[in-house]
Order: sequence, then structure tokens, then C-alpha cells
Amino acid sequence: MNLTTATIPEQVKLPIRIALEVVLQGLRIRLGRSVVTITGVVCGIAFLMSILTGQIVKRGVADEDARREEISRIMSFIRSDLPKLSGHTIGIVGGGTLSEVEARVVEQLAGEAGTILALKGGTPSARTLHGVTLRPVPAAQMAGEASVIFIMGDGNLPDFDWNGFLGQALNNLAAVTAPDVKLPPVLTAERTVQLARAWSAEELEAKSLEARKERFRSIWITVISLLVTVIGISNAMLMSVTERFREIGTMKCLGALSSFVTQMFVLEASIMGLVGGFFGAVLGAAFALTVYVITYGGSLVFSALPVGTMFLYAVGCVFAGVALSIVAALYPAKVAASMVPATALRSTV
Amino acid sequence: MAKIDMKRFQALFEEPGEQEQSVIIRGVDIHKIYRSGPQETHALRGATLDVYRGEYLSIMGPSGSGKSTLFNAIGALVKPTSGRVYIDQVDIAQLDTEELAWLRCRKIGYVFQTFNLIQVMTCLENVTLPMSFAGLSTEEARDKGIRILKMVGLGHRILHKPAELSGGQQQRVAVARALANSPDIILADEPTANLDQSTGQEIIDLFKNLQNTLGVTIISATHDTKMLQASDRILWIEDGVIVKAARPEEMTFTSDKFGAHGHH
Ligand SMILES: Nc1ncnc2c1ncn2[C@@H]1O[C@H](COP(=O)(O)OP(=O)(O)O)[C@@H](O)[C@H]1O
Ligand SMILES: [Mg+2]
Repeated sequence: MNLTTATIPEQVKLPIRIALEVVLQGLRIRLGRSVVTITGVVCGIAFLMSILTGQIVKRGVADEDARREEISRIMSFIRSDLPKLSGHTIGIVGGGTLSEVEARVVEQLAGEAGTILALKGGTPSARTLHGVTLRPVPAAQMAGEASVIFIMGDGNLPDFDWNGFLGQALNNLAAVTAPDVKLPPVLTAERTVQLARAWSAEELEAKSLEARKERFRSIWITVISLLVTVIGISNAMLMSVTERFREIGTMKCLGALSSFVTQMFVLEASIMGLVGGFFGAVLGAAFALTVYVITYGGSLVFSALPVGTMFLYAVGCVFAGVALSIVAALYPAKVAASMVPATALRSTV
Repeated sequence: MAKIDMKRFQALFEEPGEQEQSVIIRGVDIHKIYRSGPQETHALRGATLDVYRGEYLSIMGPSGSGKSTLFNAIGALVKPTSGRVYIDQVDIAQLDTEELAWLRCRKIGYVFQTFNLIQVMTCLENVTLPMSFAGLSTEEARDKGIRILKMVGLGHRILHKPAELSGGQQQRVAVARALANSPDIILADEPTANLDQSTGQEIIDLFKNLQNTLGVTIISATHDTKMLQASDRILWIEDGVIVKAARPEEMTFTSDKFGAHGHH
């Protein structure tokens, strides 16, 4: 042979751009087939997402139920004392931060009673209170005007003359909604009404047992749904790769390296996983929310919904879609890539 | 991606026996056994052949005689069970997968009975794909692709998809693709079997033309005696062995059988 014309073999390295072009073109042209494969991913991820959404909605609804019960218990106590709230003035004393329940009690009180007084230098901080204007007043003024005095928040109480304060107060009973607050000795049991729900030891134990069971159940169902998702996605990917053995064989005859073939399928799988994962997450969330709205009613579900958590789960699901698609495509792609070209050409799948 | 060992690769090309200068492919005692479970098919039983640089060689034989297997073996598409295949004096059994890819990419152009175009790509993209594999830039590949497609008479069809073309036109695209990286050899496995008589003849004429103008070695398998006239030499394969070699003028053609008073 003529050595002078023999080209020195240069590394046949292909920019990922070429693989991407081939893949995008393939997805576009084989739109019907791609849609079928993506649908497989969508179904898998939608299933996963609906299970996860269901779990957080259920947990949220249970928490919200408990909160609502708590709020209505506190409100009904106030009503038993002051049947007509409107026109009355409410005073708040305390430290630390208001719990969710307390904040909502304040909001409700503001809506019905109107005026909310806060002790200057002795009021718990809170998230934004909707429709509430807290009027900071000195102790003497609060004692003179407030029909009910609440001790709220999880922090220490301000240090001042409680005795004199309650003595001057219109209502010399203080309503305590803070569960674990340490009361000064002067606030004896006769001068306070404990409104926070106190849990007995058995109740607490039952609760933690229930929580543990619930955690186990949710792990179990998540694992099962992940399995279903994996099976759905691998099936879709397997089909999409095997039906192209011929094309792979052709490419190998044209000088494609195995790594190029693998790269191509991994790219394709990630794109399909991304698209499928996104739509799956949206559909799954929508489906689960619809079911729970029908069961529990819209107001309960939406006020209980932890939007941030749900968003995180959705992002996780999209990632899962991409990762599972890649993992599922990797095996058939490797098989296809390592196939002898002639064998790949013969296959008529 | 592992780097190719240049020294080794070059060394493989660097043992030219002077008197064998003109042999471009040599197959020595090639056996191929296909195994599927307990079933064994002895597709090649010691096929030996030389292909000369620049010739038009036809491999003739009935269906199932092992033409495709031989074609795949000398085209570095399958590993023979035993025996040697030399392409340009390189024993291809010694090449690793990347070197084989290099060989398939630049040394040999393949044409198949079923065209095997990539359906999702346009004609031009089908032709430029092997160029991308060889590392050509997109622009270079485009220009060259258009030039080759014009050469095979498809200058007006470059942006069509294979499915929009007739069988003959698709096979022309396949030929253009085989020519993409200016190979020394074109291996065609029954390239006319899926075409009608006159379209098939056009493909044969195209091969003849490429042989004459570019000096490409053409190896074409066929079981159609009408396709033999263009060839310089004909090898007859039967049950996995080359049983005779002949020149077309040495053969007497009858309707479906032919006899040769040739060599071997
Ligand atoms: N990949 C394969 N696996 C099993 N048997 C095969 C394979 N390829 C070819 N054969 C068998 O080998 C024999 C020769 O086939 P082939 O080379 O395709 O002949 P031809 O191309 O002349 O028709 C046939 O009996 C065929 O069935
Ligand atoms: Mg054949």
C-alpha cells in the first residue's frame, strides 16, 4: 500500500453538539414515538408526584384540622365569657413569638372585636397579621380598657407588677394560650385560664406511635411508587432504544464509536426525562389536589397546603424523571452500543 | 476516550510485501459459525480470496450461500470465528474498537440491500454524518456532501427525507454516504436486490463510473446474473466457500444458471 497517502488515524471525537443535533432531530421527526415514550415517563412521575402530594396534603389537612379545633376551642371559651365580642377591646401580653394558632386567634378577634391592644415592651412578635392593627399601650391603659387579657407567645413574660395590673383590670382573669410558658408565681391558677391544649403522657405516646406508623407507611408507599415509576420508565426507554438497533448498526458502520451511541441515548433520555418529569409533576400534583379538594373541600386543602414543600417535591420529581430515564436508557444503550454492527443491522425489531 | 496508539497503528500498515502491492483486501481461510442456542450455522467454511486495488469484484452465489457473512467479515463488521482478514495488509483482528471505527469511517464505504438510511435525517445529513464522525467541520461537510450528492445525480434532492425518495434515489443517497470520507473500498451487499431492473442497472453504472473516475475498489455481492457485466472479476460462493473465480467474458449466461470455464 501507499504509505505516504495513509492518513494517520486521528481520534474520532465528536462534539456533544452533534449528538444533541441528532437527538433533537430524532425527537422531532419521531414525534409520535417520542410522545409515547415521554408519556411513559409522565405516567411514572405523575404517579410518584400524586402520591407525594397526597401525603403532604393529608398531613397538612390533619395539622390544619387540629389547629382549627384549637382555635374554635379558644374562641368558644371567649364567647362563653363575652357572648357579643363586637365593641370589646382585647389586650395581648407576652414574649417570644406567636404560634400559628395564636396568630389566627388574634386575627379572628380583630375581625370580631375590633380593637387589639398590645402591651408596650411586652408583646410577642408574629408573622404578618392580616387585618390587625396592634395598638401599643402602657399597662395602666390596657388594664383599664381590655375586656380580656391574653397571655400569648412562647417567650418569657415581661417582668412587671402583675398583681397591680390584674387588680386594675376589667376582667381579672388572664387567658393563657401559650402552651409552655412559665408564669410568674403571682399568676396563680385562680387568676388564669389555661386554654392551650395540654397533652397527657398517654396521648403523647399514642401520638408519637401514630407518627411513627405514618412515617413507615409513607416511606413504604413512596418506595412502591418509585418502583412503579422505575418500571414504567425503563419499559418506555427500552422500547425506544431497541426499536432503533438498526439505526445504531448503521451509525456504527459509518464509524460511530460506542461512546457516541451511548452519549446519544443518554442525551435523548435526559431530554425526555426532563419534559416527561415536568409534565408528570404538574399532572400528578393537579390530580392529587383535585381528589383532595373533592374529599376535604377547597378551603381546607389550600389553607393547609405547604406550597414550598410541594414545590421542592415537584423539583425532586423532575430530577427523578431525568435520573431514572438516564439509568433506564443506559443499559439498553450500552447493549446497543457494544453490538457488532452486522448484528445490529440484521435486527428487525 | 482512549487515545489511539499511533505507533502501533502505523506499524500495522507498514509491512508491505512488494509483490502484494495491489492486494487491498485479503481473506484467508475464513470460517464463521453462528450459534443461537444449540443451533449452529456454518455460514463460511474456509473462504479465501484476494481483492485487487481498483477492481470491480462481484461475489455471486445463491441466497444463503454466505455472501453477506463474507461481506461483513471482509468489511470489518463481524469477527470471523477463525481465519484472517487483511485490509491494506493490516490484520483487522488486531485492531481495537476505536481503530475499527476509524477503519469503517474512512477506508470502507458500505452500501446495503435495504439502503439503511437514517430516516430522521435529510439526504444531506445522511451523507454528512460520517464526515462528522471523521471530524470534519459542519461547513466543510456540507459543501462536500452537496458535491457528492450532485455527483450521484441528486443535487436537487439534498433536503428531502429518505422516505420522500424512490428506492433508486435512496440507494444513490446510500452510495453518496458511502463515498463521504473518500474511501478506498466500497462494499455493496446486494445493492440492487430491492430495485427494479433499470434502476438497479443505474446503480451498477454508478459504481462502474466511480471505479473509473475515482479509482475506488468496488466489491458487490449479488445473486442476479444480470448485474455481472460491469465487473472485472466474479467470485462464486457456494455453501460458505469460494468455488471459482472468473471474468465476465469467460462465462456463458443462461436464464438463471451460469457456468464458467474459469480459474480456481
Ligand atoms: N446473524 C446470524 N445468526 C445466525 N445465522 C445467520 C446469521 N447471519 C446469517 N446466518 C445464516 O448463515 C447463512 C449464510 O447467510 P448469509 O451470509 O446471509 O447468506 P447470503 O447473504 O448469501 O444470503 C444462512 O444460513 C443464514 O441463515
Ligand atoms: Mg445476503
